[in-house]
Amino acid sequence: MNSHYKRIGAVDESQNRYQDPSMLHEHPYDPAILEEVRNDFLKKRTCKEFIDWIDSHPHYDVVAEASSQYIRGTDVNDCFWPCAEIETDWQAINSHIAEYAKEEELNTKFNTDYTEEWRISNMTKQKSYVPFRHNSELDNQHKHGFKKQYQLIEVTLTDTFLEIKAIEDLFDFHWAKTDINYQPTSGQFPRHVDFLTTGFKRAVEFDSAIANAEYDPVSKCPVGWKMVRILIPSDNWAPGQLFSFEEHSWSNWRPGQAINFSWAHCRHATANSGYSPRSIIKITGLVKDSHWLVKKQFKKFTL
Amino acid sequence: MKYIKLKNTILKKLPDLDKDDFHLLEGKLVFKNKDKSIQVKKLLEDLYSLDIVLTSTINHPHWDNKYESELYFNNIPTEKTYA
Repeated sequence: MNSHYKRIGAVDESQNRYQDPSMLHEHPYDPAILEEVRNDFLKKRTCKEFIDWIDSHPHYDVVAEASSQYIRGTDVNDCFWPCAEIETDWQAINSHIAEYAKEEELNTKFNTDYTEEWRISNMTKQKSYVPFRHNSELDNQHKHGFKKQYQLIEVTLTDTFLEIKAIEDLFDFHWAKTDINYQPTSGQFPRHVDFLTTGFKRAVEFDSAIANAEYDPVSKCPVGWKMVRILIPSDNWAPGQLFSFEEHSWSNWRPGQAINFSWAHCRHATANSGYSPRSIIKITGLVKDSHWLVKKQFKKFTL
Repeated sequence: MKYIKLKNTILKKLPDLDKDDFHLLEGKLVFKNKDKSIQVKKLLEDLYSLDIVLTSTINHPHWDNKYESELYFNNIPTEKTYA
């Protein structure tokens, strides 16, 4: 894992398409540059080669944009879709999250204006995880005024939320990683697509079969696998809480109504313009192509 | 449907179009030449019965090329694959 930390600082400037630094992160991106970066992104690589490539790329934000092949007009069911319903004691879970948020002052000291890590955690295991956000993406967000995004509350690597770890287990993920995406009022996370690199890097680092597997630049997953991210609201939707998937919106959710979504292509964005903090459990992991989630099946669970 | 698949279909069906005649930008296809965007609009209407909007493109000073028009869609066919 140390090797990845080192590579984060190792920028390969030969991949820099911008002659003029003032053009960096300038939206909308130059369509021709996006096409050039996309063609590079589509080249055949192993998963390990892909991680090395993206870690050293000077413009993660441009790669992310180029990696999306989303076409406006895509059906809502190809953007996000219900995948599970979990019946459990959500009231107790929400009380626990609220208590934790109070202790950690997540609402009153909401500040994500720093680059390495926004994860709320004080445990030592955190050190084995690479920062999940590439600095050029943060620079881009800061440049456009997005300075308070959300707070991530660690679940997988602590024993603080055992009841949420039990929910993680329902999905039978490999390299599962769960966080509570806690967005205090005024938080905004601008449009983006994902690479799910936090868990993916761990899989590449510790599983040579995945490291040497071909990276599929369309699914943005190792060939034979799918990386999945499930979103589960822990609480009822409150007016003003916004979650967009390009021209579509997710709203009026209820606790336990899990969705799956096209994290790889459909840009998504969140904002909490309401007056209640918003918490969504985020479970990420790898599954084989035969997994029920890849088949877009729906399951009900009771805990 | 994803962009590369759509682009390959267009280039196959309209051989006088070049791969650099149009690009993807924020879910829309942007064209250097308006006549070519009209050609593509007609092709995709016939091929997929797509509801297509054609507008002019706002060009930005930090772009290397000029674009005359763009297409966006309202009813892209649902995907059968998971991605």
